[in-house]
Order: sequence, then structure tokens, then C-alpha cells
Amino acid sequence: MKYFQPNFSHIYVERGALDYPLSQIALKKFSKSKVIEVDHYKDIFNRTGQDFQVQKKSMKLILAKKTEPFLYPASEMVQEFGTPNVYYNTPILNCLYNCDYCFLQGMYSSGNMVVFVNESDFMDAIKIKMASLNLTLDPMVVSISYNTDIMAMENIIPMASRWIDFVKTQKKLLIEIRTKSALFSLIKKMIPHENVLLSWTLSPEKIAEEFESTAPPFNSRLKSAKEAVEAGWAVRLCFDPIILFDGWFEIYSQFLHEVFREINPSKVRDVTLGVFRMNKDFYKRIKKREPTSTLFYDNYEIKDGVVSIGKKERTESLEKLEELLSKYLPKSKILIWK
Amino acid sequence: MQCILSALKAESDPLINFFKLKKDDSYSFPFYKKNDLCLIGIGVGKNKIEKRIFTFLNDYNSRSLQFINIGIAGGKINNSEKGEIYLINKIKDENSNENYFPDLIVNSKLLEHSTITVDKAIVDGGGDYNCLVDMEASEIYKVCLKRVLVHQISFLKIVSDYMDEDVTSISKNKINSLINEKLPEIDTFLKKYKNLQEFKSSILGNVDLVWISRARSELNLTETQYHQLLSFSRGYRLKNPNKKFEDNMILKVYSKTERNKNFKNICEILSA
Repeated sequence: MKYFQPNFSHIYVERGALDYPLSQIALKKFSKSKVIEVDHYKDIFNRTGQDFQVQKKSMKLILAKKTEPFLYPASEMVQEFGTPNVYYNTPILNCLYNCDYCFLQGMYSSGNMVVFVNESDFMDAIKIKMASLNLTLDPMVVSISYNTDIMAMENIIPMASRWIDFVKTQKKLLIEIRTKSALFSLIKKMIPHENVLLSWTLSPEKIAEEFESTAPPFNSRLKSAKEAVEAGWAVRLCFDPIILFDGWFEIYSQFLHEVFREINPSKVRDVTLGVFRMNKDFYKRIKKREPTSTLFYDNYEIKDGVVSIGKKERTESLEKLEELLSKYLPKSKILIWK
Repeated sequence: MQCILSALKAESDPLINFFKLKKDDSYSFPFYKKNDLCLIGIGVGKNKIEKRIFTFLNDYNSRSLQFINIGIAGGKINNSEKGEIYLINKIKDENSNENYFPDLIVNSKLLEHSTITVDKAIVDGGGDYNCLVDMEASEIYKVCLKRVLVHQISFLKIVSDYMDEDVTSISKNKINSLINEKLPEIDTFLKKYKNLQEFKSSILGNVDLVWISRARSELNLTETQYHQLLSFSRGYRLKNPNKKFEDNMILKVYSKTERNKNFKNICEILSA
């Protein structure tokens, strides 16, 4: 017996968002969904008394028009690696997946997804910001998949490809599209562009099964990343978060071996490493809801508003992994959140 | 526990009979119950809803409680069918102009509609209303949301008229018959809706809670220690679904120092 409505059984549409092309694409894609008109997306997304995890059993789609701000300075928890002019934007709120360690469950009270359909306003904001920055040495970097997985939505709402088209018109703009999806095939026909960084988060199969059960399995992600590398895209591999458990080093050693057996490391732009970490307020909010993932019952330390594994254990683990990774890549290509 | 909320006696009677609910006279309002299903008569309109629901909640407050408003509503000839049952997906309060959106998680297969909650029955044909019209939904939503989560509140409305009759003048037999006709759909909905309760079941079982309560009282734990113990215990239960909390972990202590030492030891065992 199927207990739950399928995802996107209902689409909530802001009155002012209906006529945008992206809304029309979504409504056509889900032509059998029930459409409910709302005055403002927050009327549904920010309701009091929502249960993130229950709503994840049957996510609803909310089509809305975002107002300013369209651009935010990057969080300290993102690996900026000394690069100036790093920003993120939020074309979509929330993610198709529901990884146990994801900060979104602490950031948003709703498990539903909001798609902002006024994409040109986001793009215009970037152009305005670029005009105000000194970009003679470094480009402006924008993560467009920070609060979502935009590539995972590509077969529903083709935003990633539209953003790639936009980047091609901007010389000093680099976008990062971080994903766990296996949908590279949907942008395979596009000509790779050096200012588009496709980042795949990869985890050992054991971790993917336990903590990323709603995302595609490790092998599918690896295949997608490999195809992207071979097609000539700039690809970043994100080994983040590293989850520490008994025997973790052996598992990760085997995992990295598998990854670089498939993907030529010299063709990878860089890799990132980081352990589980979360803004303390988000962490506390999740804990209050009695999460069922064991991740939330380990011993962590709180420092500078961030919950994470203690500094000593964290540094030792990441250094061990860095050493291991340096067999495949120069250390200059290994970016670490310590 | 599932709690049906209905306004009219004529709405309640078929539900009471079908689910074999027994009257509980300990309340000053109509209250019927059998096992984990109950029914509160909330009266017509908004006035008595809060008091009755909160009185009930004084006795039956559980994290998996679900409220289901079942009743008749006015419809329009061009957008609804007399006798049809609808799951409500949007509620507008005519007075405040506020909109409320129940969660629609359960695959109920019922038709859906929005409703507007009005203070006085509409008997002039409904004019510009393009949704169902009822007299309680917005208040039920607001009141219940003070104590439960959105997904724990649902609304089922059966169209009784096209807003050309005063709700109080619709015959009891007619209302009985409207509800009776839809009892199979109501029953199926309640069964499906109940499945959602599983997702809010506690990580800790009753036996675990007894052990935690014993540790709290015998070690005279502080409030902070108690909450830490709860958290460690949840982690232990998730990692060790079949292991019991050993009684010998809790020692006889005679001072705060001994208490703290034993508490630390318990936390280390539970988080190992």
C-alpha cells in the first residue's frame, strides 16, 4: 500500500510567478499535480508547526518570485580557500535529497522545495555585483547550488543548463554547481566551459547507503563525474563530509582507490575534504526534533558557532586523508576545511 | 490517537455508530471514544472549539495525536457535487483574510477542494464564493496548531447544499445520509492517515524510559544531566536496537561528586 502522495503531488504557485517560463515548464512536467494558488511562498514554506522529515515523505513544489537579496557572501563553512569574491545564491530552497548530515533540515522549517522562477533577476544581480568588484585578477565565484542540488532538479526544471548558458556570456564569472546527482547526461551535449565548475560529492558506498540513502548510489555519481571529466568539464570532487567510524580509514582508502581508478586524477581540477560540521543553531534545532540518524548522537565540540568533531581528531584524520590523497594529486589541489 | 471533530449531532451520529464509539460523560460536551479513536462535538461555528479541544488535550496529549474535522459544507453547482467528500487543501478565514494550508502527505485518493470559513451561514446561493464554505475549519486549524503539528490536522468536507439552505435547517436525516454514504471513504482515510503516526514514534521505548526515569531519580540528576542522558540514551538505542539498558549502570550514590562520576560513566558507556 502506498501511504504517501508522490513528490510534487501538489504545486503551490505564487500569483505573480505563474507566467514565468520556469513555472510553465514545471507545471507542464507535473500536469497531473494539483495546483494551489498562494499569495506568497512564505505562507506555505514558513508555516508554523511543520515537520521537515514528515514533509520529506511527500515533498511539494512551491513556485515563487524572489525579491532581493539575490546574492549572499559565502558561508565560512564553505571552502573558500583564500579566493576573494565568493558568493552564493538561492535559485532553489531545499533539496530533492535528504542526507542525514544536511544543514538544510536545521535551516528550514519545511521539507518542501521552493523554486524561484525569476532567474533573470538573479543573473542581473550578479552582473551588478561584478561591476562593483575589482575582478582584474580573480573572477567572481558564485555557488548556485548551495541550499539545494540544482543538477538533481535538471530533469524537472532545467536550471543548471540555463545558468551554464548565462556564464558563457560573462568573462569574469565562475559558477560552482555542487551535486550528488547522476544526471550529467542531461547537460552532456553542452559545450564545456572553463568558468563552470561541476562538483560531485562522493562518499564510500557504506556511507552513501547509511547517510545519503535518498541520493543516487556512489557508483552512479562516480559514473556521472567521470563522464564530465572525460567530456572536458572542470570537475571538483568533494569528499565532504568525511564520516569517522571504526575502520573509517580503510574504507576511505579503498574508496579513493576506486575513485581514481575510474577518474584520471590529473584531469580533476581539485578535491575538497571536510568532516561533518554544522552551524550550532541548525544542529540544536535538528536535535530538538529527535532525529533518527546516529550522526546526531556522537560527541562533538562547539567552537565559534560550529558543531564538529574535536579539533585534534579532526586534524589528525584530515591530515591522514590528505597524505593518502597526495598519492593521486598534488597537495595544492587538495582543499581542506580544518 | 485520532480525534474526529464534528459540529452537528447529525454529523456525529453516523460516525459514532459506524466506529462504535461510546459516550464518555466525564466531559461537559459531547465526547465519544473507543480505543484510540474519539470524537468531540465542537458545536456549530467557532465559539466553543478552543475550550473543548483544550479540555480534551488536558487528558489526551500525545505526540502522535491527529485531529480530523469531518462535516458538511456548502458548495457551488459549478465546482462541486452534492454528496461528494473533499479533502481540504486550503482554508481561508473570511474574517481575517488569513489563509491556512493543511499538509497533504497521505495518498488518500480523495478529491480536493479549498474552503472559506464564514461566521454566518450563506443562504443566498453563494455569490462570488468559488470554493466550499464552512463555519469551523479555520478556527480548528488555528486552535489545533497551538498543540500539534500541521500534518496532524486534516479536514474532510461533504457537500450538503449549494448555499441555498441554512445549515441548521438541513434535515437530520439528510445529513445522516450524506455522512453514511461516505463512511467507507472516511474509514479508509483514517486508516491511511494513521500510518503517519509511525513516523513520530519515539526512539526510546517504555522500558528505556523507565530506566532513564530511575537513573534520574536515584542519581538525583540535574535538569541538564537529565537532558544529556536522554540524548545519549537515544543514540545508544539507535546504535543498539536490541540491547537493554543495564540496571547495574546506576549505582547507589551519596554525594554530588559520586553522582557526577556515575553519570559520566553512564554517558561513556552509552556513547561508546
